Amino acid sequence: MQDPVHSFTVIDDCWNRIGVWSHAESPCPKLQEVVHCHNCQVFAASASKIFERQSLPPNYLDEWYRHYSKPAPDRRISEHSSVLVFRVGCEFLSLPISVIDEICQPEMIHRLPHYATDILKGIVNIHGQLRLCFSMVKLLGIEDFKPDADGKRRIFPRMMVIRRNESRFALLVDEVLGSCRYAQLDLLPVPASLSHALGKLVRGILQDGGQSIGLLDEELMFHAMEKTLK
Amino acid sequence: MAFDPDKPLYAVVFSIGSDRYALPAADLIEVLPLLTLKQLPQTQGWVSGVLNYRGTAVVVLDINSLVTGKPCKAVVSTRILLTPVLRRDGIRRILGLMVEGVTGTVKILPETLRVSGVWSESAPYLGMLAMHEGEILQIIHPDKFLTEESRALLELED
Repeated sequence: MQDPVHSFTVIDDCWNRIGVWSHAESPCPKLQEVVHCHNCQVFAASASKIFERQSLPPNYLDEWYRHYSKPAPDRRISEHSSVLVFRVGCEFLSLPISVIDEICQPEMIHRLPHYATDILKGIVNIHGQLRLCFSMVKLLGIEDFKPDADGKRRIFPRMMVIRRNESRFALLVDEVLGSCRYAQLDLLPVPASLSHALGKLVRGILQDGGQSIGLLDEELMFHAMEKTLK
Repeated sequence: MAFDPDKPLYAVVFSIGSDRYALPAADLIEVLPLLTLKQLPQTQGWVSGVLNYRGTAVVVLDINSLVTGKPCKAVVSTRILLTPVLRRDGIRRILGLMVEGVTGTVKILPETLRVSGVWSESAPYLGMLAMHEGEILQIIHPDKFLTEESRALLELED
């Protein structure tokens, strides 16, 4: 039997010769366009040749037979949801992706005379549209917390526009961390240690990379914001 | 499977001989690796055997053998595409198609599709041609791999 590693077509490892893993004086002209060998068709085509090896690994057929003869695992696909994770003060919170309309740089807030409260900061101009802007810290009753200014990590405050039906509100958050996917069954109950205002608005707790993230209930959030306008 | 001419077509690409073919993802249930099959003695050469797919018996056809007479090579890129076939009484059965060179998926834009201009009665499974990144992919209609005779053979018809 042939040596499986060397039996397939000889591969020209141009990525080692003139690509990003080389110290060649005249790098591959394709890098101008693709930036990194990872994005290059030649690299992808070479990788797929590995599947053309002459022999299958030992026990390959039987292992896959055993895998597929078992009942399908319960993937609970329909019960997965995605959320956007952000930080407000010392709390990591999230809202369903479906209610997030936009994330932008914090805009200048114009106070509303005789109307502005701690919770309602004022109005902001986002792409020419005026939106009411709320402070998440005050709305949720979170301790305002400034992370240690050790300068290791830059923090970018953001403004999030959230939408339900026709109403859109702008919210100030300290940081937007990205999206996260979770299964409904993995949602943990709300601990009693949460502050009163926050506890009422959090539907459950998600675990992502060792971090506990509160999942806000969007209906209750909108209700709480609309209540301050009356 | 009819597809919307305005929308891109997602497909799994495979080889028969040196040519590349595309099976629309809408016609796929799952892509399986090569695995141990229960052999069926004294059947046509292109019937590879029966697969235990999560408790369901699925007949696997060797498409290379059916089309070119040469069986698929036992390499990692040879895989089994599971596709639904409808019996005339409406019952859905799963059919396994063993094909070579399954290394990825493509997004075919509708404006790259061309009519092949040749209609072969013995190969009704051949569909339109897609001009995809410098290579020609031919769309495959998996439900048409089976002739009346082979459908009867596979107990798909009474």
